Amino acid sequence: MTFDSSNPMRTVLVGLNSPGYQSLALGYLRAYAQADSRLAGRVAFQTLDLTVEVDPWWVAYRVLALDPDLVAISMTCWNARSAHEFCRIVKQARPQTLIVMGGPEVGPIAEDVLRAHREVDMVVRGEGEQTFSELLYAITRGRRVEHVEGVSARMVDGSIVSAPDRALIADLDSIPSPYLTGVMSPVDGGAYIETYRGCPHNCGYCFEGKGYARIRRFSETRVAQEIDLLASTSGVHSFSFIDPVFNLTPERLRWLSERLAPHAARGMRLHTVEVDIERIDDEQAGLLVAAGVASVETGPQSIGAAALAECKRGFDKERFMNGVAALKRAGIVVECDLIVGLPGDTVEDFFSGIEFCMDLDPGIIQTSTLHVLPGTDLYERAGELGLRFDPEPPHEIVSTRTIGYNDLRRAEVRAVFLQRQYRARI
Amino acid sequence: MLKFQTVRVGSGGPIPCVHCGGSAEPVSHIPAAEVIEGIREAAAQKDPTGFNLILGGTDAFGHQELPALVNAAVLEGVARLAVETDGGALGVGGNAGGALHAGVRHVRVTVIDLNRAVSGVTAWIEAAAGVDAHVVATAVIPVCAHNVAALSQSVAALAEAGVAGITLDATDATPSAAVSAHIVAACDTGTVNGVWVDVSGSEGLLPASHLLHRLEEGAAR
Ligand code: SF4
Repeated sequence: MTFDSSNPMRTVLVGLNSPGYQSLALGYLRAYAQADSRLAGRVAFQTLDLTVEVDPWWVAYRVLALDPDLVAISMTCWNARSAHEFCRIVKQARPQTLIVMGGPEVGPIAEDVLRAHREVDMVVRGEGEQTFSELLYAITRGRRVEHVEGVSARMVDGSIVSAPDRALIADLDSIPSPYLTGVMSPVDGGAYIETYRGCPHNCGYCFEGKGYARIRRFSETRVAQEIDLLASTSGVHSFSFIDPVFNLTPERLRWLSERLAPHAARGMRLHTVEVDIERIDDEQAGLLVAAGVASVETGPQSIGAAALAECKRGFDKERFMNGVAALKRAGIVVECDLIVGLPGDTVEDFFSGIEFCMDLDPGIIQTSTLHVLPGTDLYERAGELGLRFDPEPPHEIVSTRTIGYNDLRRAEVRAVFLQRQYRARI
Repeated sequence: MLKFQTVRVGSGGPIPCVHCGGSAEPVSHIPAAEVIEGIREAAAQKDPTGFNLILGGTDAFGHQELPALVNAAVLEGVARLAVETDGGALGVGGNAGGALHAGVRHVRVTVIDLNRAVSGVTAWIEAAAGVDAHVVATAVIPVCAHNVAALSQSVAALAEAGVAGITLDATDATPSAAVSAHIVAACDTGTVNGVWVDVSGSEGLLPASHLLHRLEEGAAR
C-alpha cells in the first residue's frame, strides 16, 4: 500500500512515560520526520504522551480511536510490559496497523523481540531519528523496509531480517528541536534539554556509555535557544537536563551557568541534574547555584572494589567526599545513588555504601536494584559474571555469585527502610 | 547507620505481657529542666548525619511538658526527632498532628497492645499525609511465649498500618526451635510486605539463612 496527500499514513507515536514527563525521544522522531520534505503530505502525525500507569487496554482504546496505519512506541525497560500488552490488543483489533518499536529496551535485541512478540512488525535499532524517517519513506512508497539501515523487520513469510546498522548522526543540529519547532510544548517540571549524546564513562550496567560511546554535541546556539524558550514559557518554573554529566567540562559548565543565570535570577530552577561529583569544587558548586540548580544526582552506585572493577567505574573516596561537601556548602541537595546486586558486591559492601553515603549526610540517599539491560556490558557478560536476571523487562537481578535471591530481596527492603529513616528529618 | 541518642523523659509503664506476670513499674517523669539539660548535652555529640534524638524511657506523650521538650530539641538543632509511645496517645485528639507540627518525625511504638499500636501508627501516618514532611513509624515488639505464635500476624498488621521497620526484642524469649521458626516467619512476613524486621537479643534464634535480620549493634529504633 502507498500513501499520499489524499491518503496520508496515520502515524501515532506513543509514549508511556513517568507521571509528569513527556517523551523527548518521540519529540525528536517527530520533529525529524516532519522536517523531511519527502514525507510532507504523506504522513499525518499524532503523539500520545501517556503515563506508564495507564491501563494498557485504555492505551489501546486511545490509540485505536485514531485509526492508525502505524503505531510507533519508544520502549524502555519500565514501560515495555505495558507497551507489549497494548500493542497486542491493537494488533488484534486492527491487524493491518503496523507496529514499530524503538529505544534501548528493544534495539540491542531486535530480532529476539520480533521472535517473541508476533504483534511487532519492525524494530528501529540504535539512534532512531534518521532511521524512522527512512522507514516511513520506504513504507509510504511501498519500498522494502528490510533494506532500511537500522531496521529489523518481520517478513510476510514470517522470517526476520535485519538491515545493516546505521551510522550515528554526525551533526546533531540536523535533528530539529522538538521545542523550537513546536512539536513539544514544555510542561513545568517535565521538560528536558539534551546538550550532547554519549558519555565519557562506560559503566557496565548502563547503555549510554556503550551505546553512544563518542560524545556528540548540539551547538551552543541551539542549546541557548532551547534554554531561552523553556525559561520563557508561561507556567514553566523548572526544567532539567538529560545529559549524563552536567559538568562535562569546566568550560561547558561555565557556559551553561552563564546562559542559565539570568533565568535563575528570576526564579527558574533546574531540578536534579546528574554530575560527576569527583570534579566538583567550590567554584563548580558556585556555577551550579548560579545556574539555578537546586539538587544534583550522583553515585557512587557502589563502594565495593570488586563491583567497581567489574562495572568499570572509578571511585575516589576523598574526591567524592570533597564534592559532596562543596555542594552542601553551596546549599545544593545531593542525591547519592547506590545499586544493590552489582557483580562482585556482597550484602556487606552494599550496606557499607549506604553507611558511607549517610556519613556524608548528602540530603537524599536513593537505592535501586540492578537491572541487567539489553545492550549493556553486564547483559553481554551476564553468564561469565554469574548474573541471573529476569529475561523479561525490566530485567531485574535475581541473584549474583555473591548475593542469593533471598538476601537480595532482604537487602532491598532494609535499604528502603534506611532511606526512609534517613529522609525523615526536620 | 543512623544513630539516635536517647534522652529519658521518665520511666515505668505497663508490663509488656499480662500473662508473663510481673508488676508494672509506676510511671514517673523527669522534670522538664532536667530533660532539657540532657537534650543540650546530647546535642553536643552529633552523629555525622546530624543530631538524632529519641525522647523515651516511658511513653513520651505522658510527659506534661512534652511540647517544651520538643521545642528545646528543635532549638538545639535536632535533625531527626523520635518519640517513644505505645501508640495510644497518637490516636487521641490532635496529638499526632501536634507532634508533627512541632518537629517530631519518627515515632517508635512499643507494642504492648497490638490494636492500640496499630491505631496509633494509623493516626500518625494519616496526620503526615496532610503535610509536606517525611515521617517514619517504627515498632518494637517484646517477644514472649504468649505472643510468639502471633508474631507474623502482628508484623502484617503493623505493615498494613504503615510502619517502616519493626524490631523483635527477643531478650526475654526462651530459645527453642519453635520460637526460632516463629521469628523467622515474622521476618519473612516483613520482607514480603516491604517492612524491615530485625531481631535483638537473638543469639542463636536466627538461623544462618536469616542472619541479615540481626539488629546491628548500636542501632537505635
Ligand atoms: S551510568 Fe551515567 S556515567 Fe555511567 S555510563 Fe551511564 S550515563 Fe555515563
